[in-house]
Amino acid sequence: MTDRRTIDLDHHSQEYADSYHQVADELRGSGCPVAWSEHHGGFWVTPGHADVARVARDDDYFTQDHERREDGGGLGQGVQRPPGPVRTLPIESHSPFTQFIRQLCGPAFSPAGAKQFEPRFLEMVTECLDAVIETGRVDFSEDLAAITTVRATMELIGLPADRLPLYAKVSHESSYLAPGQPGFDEAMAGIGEIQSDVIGLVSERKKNPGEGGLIDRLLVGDVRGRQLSEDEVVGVLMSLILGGGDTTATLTLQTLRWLHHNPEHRARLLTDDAYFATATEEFLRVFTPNVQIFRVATQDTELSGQPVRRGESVMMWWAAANRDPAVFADPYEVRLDRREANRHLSFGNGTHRCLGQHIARMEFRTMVREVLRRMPDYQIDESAVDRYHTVKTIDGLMHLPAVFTPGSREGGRPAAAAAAAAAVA
Amino acid sequence: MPHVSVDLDVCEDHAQCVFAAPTVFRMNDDDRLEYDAEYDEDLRFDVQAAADSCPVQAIKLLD
Ligand code: HEM
Ligand code: SF4
Repeated sequence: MTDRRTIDLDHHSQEYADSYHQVADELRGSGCPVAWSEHHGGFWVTPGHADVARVARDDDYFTQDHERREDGGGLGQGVQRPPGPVRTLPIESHSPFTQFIRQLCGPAFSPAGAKQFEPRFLEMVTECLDAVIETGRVDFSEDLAAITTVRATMELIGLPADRLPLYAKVSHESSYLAPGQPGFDEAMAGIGEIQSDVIGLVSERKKNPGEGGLIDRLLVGDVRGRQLSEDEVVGVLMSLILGGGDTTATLTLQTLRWLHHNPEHRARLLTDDAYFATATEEFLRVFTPNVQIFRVATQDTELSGQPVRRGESVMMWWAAANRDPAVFADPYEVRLDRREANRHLSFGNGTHRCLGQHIARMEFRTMVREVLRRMPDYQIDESAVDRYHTVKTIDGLMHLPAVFTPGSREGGRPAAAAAAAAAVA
Repeated sequence: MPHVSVDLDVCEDHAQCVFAAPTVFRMNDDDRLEYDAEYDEDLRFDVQAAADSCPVQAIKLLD
């Protein structure tokens, strides 16, 4: 342990939330970018794009498995530090099992699947915007993004709509509440509640297969004779329910906030599809909703010359990698036509690259464009913007209130959206 | 130049590869995969990432 540079970095602290980009830049500038933090069992921190991409991709040296296996390869503690209470799939698994689950999840997650789902998602957005359009006031978080994103995942899975208020609330709160904060214990209990609800639904659907949503596909589908157990199906559904919400919401909210300060970009984003697509990758890069995720080394190796021993954890610092000046010229500048932006790591890299990326882009585009179209003069109330206090995974916004010139409804049933908004609030 | 091949009978058009190595793989207007069998040596890392991320493991690097 002689030649290791240590750093006092705790991703659960408020200090980290306030300064992580600065910390990353300091490390980068120090000539010795890879440092060791003693927090949460200890882990390496590395801000470089090449290192982060390699850790994400090098399944021979790093694992995200959650199980400690008999064969000695099982050092896995999952992707959270400290390790999460349940094993989430497919993230906390290894190939070929990972690929098996990804294949079972199937065409809903392809660009064609996302496109097919778009009209239905637009209805959900319409319903949310209709609920507030006549008032001239909106909280883009609670009234829109925190609800539609979870609702969409629930429909893709085939979960009953009456659960939306609970699921939306828990998904949102468990993303930003840290241990010790008011509401944290309730949010964790809420995850337990959702999990037992999902366990119940899964065993019921195993007996009486339903309409053929993802839940049924996962239960009955097989790939080369292998099927998922009920527990494994629960693991996949939990990660979809909790993983597809605040990530996509964050991208949307941070972008709407940026467009408040940079309104000159609104018009072109509304009308130019190709420009919107390129800009999406730049928003993903600069706002990197998922700031960091962990792996553990399964063999001795090195990162930028720094020895890393078997069994040691490594933080994959997506947000820092996305501002690596070796890959992105003027990384702090938001350039909506940036070409090399597609090398961002916001959706990860390698085997576990985000399965929901096409759905996320579709949801993001639909929400941003509907807001720009129906509330073209919206103004954010910056004094009431509320950031997550800590960045345990996601760097998001709890509240993003805005005012706009009232408009008229365009259909939909505002009642359901209003009920869900009341639960999240 | 190295080569890559995609088994189009296996490919389900998930387009994971398209974002991993956008200059080699792309989706056409019908959301079906198209790709260049020959690619630049510099892109080996990206093409390997594309092969890794493919849910059905349809991509083979050939050299
Ligand atoms: C902007 C929004 C999103 C961001 C930034 C994001 C980010 C990520 C990242 C960084 C990973 C890789 C994790 C790792 O390597 O350990 C990942 C994996 C995953 N994401 Fe997303 N995600 C987003 C939206 C979604 C949505 C909407 C869904 C589902 C509806 C989803 C489902 C998944 C799943 C299932 C995985 C695991 C894939 C695997 O392990 O093979 N994500 N996501
Ligand atoms: S990732 Fe695989 S399945 Fe998807 S388009 Fe590429 S080759 Fe086809």
